[in-house]
Amino acid sequence: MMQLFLALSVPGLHAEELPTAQDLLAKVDANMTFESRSLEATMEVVKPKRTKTYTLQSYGRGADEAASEFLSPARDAGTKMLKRGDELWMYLPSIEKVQKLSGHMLRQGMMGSDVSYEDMMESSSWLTHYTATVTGSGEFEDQACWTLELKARQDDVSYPVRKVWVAKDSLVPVKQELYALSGMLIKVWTMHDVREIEGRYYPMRMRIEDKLQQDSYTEMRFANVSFSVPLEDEVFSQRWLER
Amino acid sequence: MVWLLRLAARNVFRNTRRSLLTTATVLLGTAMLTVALSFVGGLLGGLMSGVAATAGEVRIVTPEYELREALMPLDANIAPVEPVLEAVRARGYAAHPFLSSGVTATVGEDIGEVFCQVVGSDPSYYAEVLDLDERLVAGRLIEAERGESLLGLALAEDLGAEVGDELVVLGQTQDGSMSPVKTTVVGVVDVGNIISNRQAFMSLAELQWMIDLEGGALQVYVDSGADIGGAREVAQDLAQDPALAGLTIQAWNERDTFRQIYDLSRTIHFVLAGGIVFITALGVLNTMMMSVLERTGEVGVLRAMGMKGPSVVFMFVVEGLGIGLVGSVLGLALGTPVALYLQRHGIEIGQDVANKVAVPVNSTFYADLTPEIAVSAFLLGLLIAALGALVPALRATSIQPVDAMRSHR
Amino acid sequence: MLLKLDRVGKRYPMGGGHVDALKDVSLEIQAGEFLAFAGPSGSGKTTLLNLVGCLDTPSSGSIQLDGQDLGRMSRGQLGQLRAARIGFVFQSFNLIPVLSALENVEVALRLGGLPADLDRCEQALVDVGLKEQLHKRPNQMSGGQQQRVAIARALVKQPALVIADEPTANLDSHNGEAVLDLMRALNEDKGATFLFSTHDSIVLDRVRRTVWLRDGVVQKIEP
Repeated sequence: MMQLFLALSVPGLHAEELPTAQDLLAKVDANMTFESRSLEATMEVVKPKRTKTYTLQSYGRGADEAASEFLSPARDAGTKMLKRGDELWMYLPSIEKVQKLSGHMLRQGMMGSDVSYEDMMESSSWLTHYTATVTGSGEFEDQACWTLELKARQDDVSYPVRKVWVAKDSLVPVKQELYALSGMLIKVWTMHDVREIEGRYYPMRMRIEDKLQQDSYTEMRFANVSFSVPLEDEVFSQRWLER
Repeated sequence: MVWLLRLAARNVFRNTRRSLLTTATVLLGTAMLTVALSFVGGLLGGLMSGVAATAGEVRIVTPEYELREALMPLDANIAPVEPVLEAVRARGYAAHPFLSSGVTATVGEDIGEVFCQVVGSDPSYYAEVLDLDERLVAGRLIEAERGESLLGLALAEDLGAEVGDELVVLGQTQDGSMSPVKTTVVGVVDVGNIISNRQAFMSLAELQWMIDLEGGALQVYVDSGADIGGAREVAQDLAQDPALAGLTIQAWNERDTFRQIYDLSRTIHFVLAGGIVFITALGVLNTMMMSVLERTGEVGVLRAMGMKGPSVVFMFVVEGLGIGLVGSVLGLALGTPVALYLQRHGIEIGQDVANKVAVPVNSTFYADLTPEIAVSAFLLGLLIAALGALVPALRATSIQPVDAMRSHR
Repeated sequence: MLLKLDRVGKRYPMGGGHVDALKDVSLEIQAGEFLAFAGPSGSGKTTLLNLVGCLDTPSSGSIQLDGQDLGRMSRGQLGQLRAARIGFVFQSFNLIPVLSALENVEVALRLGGLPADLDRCEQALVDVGLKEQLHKRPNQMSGGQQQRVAIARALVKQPALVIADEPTANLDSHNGEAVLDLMRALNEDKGATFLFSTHDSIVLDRVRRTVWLRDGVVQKIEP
């Protein structure tokens, strides 16, 4: 009797049991964090007027450290970025100087793309900045997903509201809708071609669409993804930047 | 008729003291006009040269650029720009491709936080429109195709930069990616207004590289070489060219901010001149009225003998003009050295005030005494005399012959 | 008959009402007369002189000059008539100070619509005994001389009549007598009609007829 009462009165208890947000996000984190990671990326920045394509080599360690070097096109080759914790530096080869990025500069698109430096900076778990609720199930590109709604704890976050679709099997956040406080849709971030690499699931392609502009999106395609390459400390240092 | 003129002329010298007083009034008025008109003229002239420098006499942009101008949209550009330049030049005007963008600038080791505008254009723009070759404070103009820059005086001070220093600016490409540019400062210029003096000037190629805009420009500035007041006609002429179809062609005085300031200046001009004329004419009116009232008997007898109203008016107005002529000439002689002094030394209004004005102005206002102004002041001096004499003259016509009888009784 | 006045009256508005400067004056004046309107101040003599001199129009009654009814004329027509046919001599001379004697006389011709004949002007001044003063300005002449210039000016256009308002008032008795004698001589030689408004005995002793006025009405006519 007591069990029936409980079953009927507690919200969210359907036939299928929903995971808790806490639980789910922890698993997502676990999948996306790695001791070390290296990959090659091709970034295509598509705008109504023209499209620019960049290639870069990227390294990552843990959640806090990431280093990238642009390989092409020629005018951008040699440009490097280093993230440590919540600090971001850029090395500009043509003037041989290191520039620290902070404040409003972080909200700009990297290389003019729809991925902002801040977007890339994101490391710490969403749970730190948002309160999350699992809202149910959904589908994305024929994948069954859990849907979550995240609301920012503070107002100074770039995207106060996020709707996330997490693929049930790969635990990759295959789609995110990023909203402003007003409810306006700012960006849509999707991940495709999820593959299993060295025991983890990683998307081979990401697309970020700027919903505030027409026909504006950035697509990143990855190759040579590896999670076990040993990386020296030096890679994540200032010296590496200036070399 | 001639005899009336002769009579009026003789009346000028009749009451020396009063004539001198009237002359002095006209003199003062003319002198004030000379100085005031020169000053306002210089103001407008300075304004307009500042305008020509920053806004272009006539400019050609894409409609999208005009729409989003406040955001300084680097992607709303004209590319290729060469056909536009050719079309404008074919009509006999000078055309300059123009690029500008906001950057942060540094001299020395650290990447600084001095925010400024960088301008890129062809050498003829710098030499002919901005007259930079005459405005060099140090160094020389840009000669190389890349790698050199000029700094406006105020910017050089802010940066602590000198000729020979390395200038590093961090701008953006039209796609939004960071775009650093390194150049050597080859010269420092005093462009003549506060906005331009906060800019850095580079070659067209340099800016095109920085913005990643090959063969393009953000604006095309058109210079007709004639009076900037005729800009509207130039714009209309260009609007008919099929090569410029789809582009927005604007005369500087069709652009809101400038038009308001320009109209305001002209209004001040007219109000000032009108005010001086009016007040001075009142002075003349005063002294001439006394003359008229004193000559009641004389006018009465002339009327009795058959002089008609218009002739009476004529007589007094000519007398006034005669006095005014002397006053005008002397007033011009007095006002000219004052105006010339102001032309040389100007009046300092202070940088704070200059910075608050929406258009580029210097902190010192200079007068500009042109022959046109001198002639205008002189003619206005005569006008003062004529106006001042008119009312008393009309009053004289109301003197009836009968009054000649009653006077002195 | 030169002038015929028939029950002429002149009324001026004053304060809330009006004042009658002249009431019901009837008079006939012949050409060639040497006549004075006399009486105390306010008697209307100046007003009467103004009316016959075409300087003003009557409020009632009629004035005929050479058969023309002055009351029917417009201001402009009156002015033209006056300019052509009437000469003026005032007590305050009213010469134009910046003009010479000759030029002052010349003005009368020009304004009267007559050709500016300098010989004629010179002759007019000679006739009043100012041959040596042709080019002198009024401030270089005595009062008597100035008044003579005024007389020359009045006569140069050979007017139908000369009206003189207190011509001796600003002159000493010696000059006053001389001027009056001159006018009398001109009247006799040239037949110019002179009408005076005066209370000076110098004038009254020399006129041939006197019309005495009091309070706007003709009291008596002598002889």
